[in-house]
Amino acid sequence: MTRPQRRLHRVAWAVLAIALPAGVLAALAARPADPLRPAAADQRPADPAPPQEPRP
Amino acid sequence: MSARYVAVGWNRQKRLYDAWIVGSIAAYLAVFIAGGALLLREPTLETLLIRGLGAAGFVLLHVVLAIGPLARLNPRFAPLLYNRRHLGVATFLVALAHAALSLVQFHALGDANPIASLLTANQRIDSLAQFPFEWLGAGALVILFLMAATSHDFWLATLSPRAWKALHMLVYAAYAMLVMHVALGALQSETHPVYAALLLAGAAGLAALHLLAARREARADRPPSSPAPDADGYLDACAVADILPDRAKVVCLGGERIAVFRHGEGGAKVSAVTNLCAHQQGPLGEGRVIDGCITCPWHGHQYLPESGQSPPPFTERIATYNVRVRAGRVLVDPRPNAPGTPVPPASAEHAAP
Repeated sequence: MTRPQRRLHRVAWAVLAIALPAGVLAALAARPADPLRPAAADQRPADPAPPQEPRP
Repeated sequence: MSARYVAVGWNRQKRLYDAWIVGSIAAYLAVFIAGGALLLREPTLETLLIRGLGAAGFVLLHVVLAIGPLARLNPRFAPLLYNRRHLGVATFLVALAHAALSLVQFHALGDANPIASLLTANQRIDSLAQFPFEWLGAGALVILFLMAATSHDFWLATLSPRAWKALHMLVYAAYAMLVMHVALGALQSETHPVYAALLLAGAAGLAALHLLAARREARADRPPSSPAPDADGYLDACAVADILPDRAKVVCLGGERIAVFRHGEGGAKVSAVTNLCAHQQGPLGEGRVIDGCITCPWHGHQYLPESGQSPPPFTERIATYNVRVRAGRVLVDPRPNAPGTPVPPASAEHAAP
């Protein structure tokens, strides 16, 4: 590798060494307690009720 | 080796290497599927195959990424570099199989186009728990495809080594995307701590290997403490006695590494060339002189020490440096000559006047 490429490798892996564990831990912290039931903040808002048709 | 396409030169070593790769992948999948069938409740074969292929590709990528720094740290691992591209292509093919099965299983059984479904079915980028992790996997697959498609030497010469290397450094972006693909995908439902521990250990292990190798390389980049240049601008590189016959000493002068070789009968001649092989920028200084040619330890490319030219019929050239020997010390002009410029070797036996 050339010297600039070696420098780029060092910087890239220094960044990955911090960012990857941080990203994984953030993902683990975000998962719901019950994987089958998403957390309240992740639930989609309920669709509004369809308008009722007027009686004839 | 000119820039025209030459088919892969299969030899016994390559066939053995590939047989090992295929056999290892098959064995891994067999153990994964058998183990999954025993441990999981009502697993389907499709589920086990998808997970097995994904896991196999991910493990292969770790192996591929570990080879470089391991070879830097211990020369015993250097032979693994020789056919590393075969491992890389195998990683892509396994990942492609994982992606294809996943696409069929999760996106192809409805009305929408599977690719459109992949890109539009989940757009919750505002949520970590429901993040469209498939996009990360797809992005990484595109990078792996580009790397696999350009792994042949034809592309190395067509794109130029610098552009080719820049493209192949995207593997680090692909790795980061795949770590998050697993963390935001499978690990959202697989809560056993062993999975998270394995993922973190893999990432930490690779980072540690690369940073250790980088620290060693950074030390080698420091120029030797030596007297000021002489009247002609030559810098003191090392003592002649520091260099074994048919081997080199690598010094950092003028900002780049220079390989100073002793060659000829009994190592009586001294020549200096760039440390970077024209093929894939391997460390020429870690190679040796064989049949009168500097031989790169990575893939065996050769250069004549007096001119930096590959012996015919090959056409690669590397930069040479003017060199002289004075009072047992090797002096090198740090200004490189154009690649392929002949430079008379200095005599290791007699000091220059």
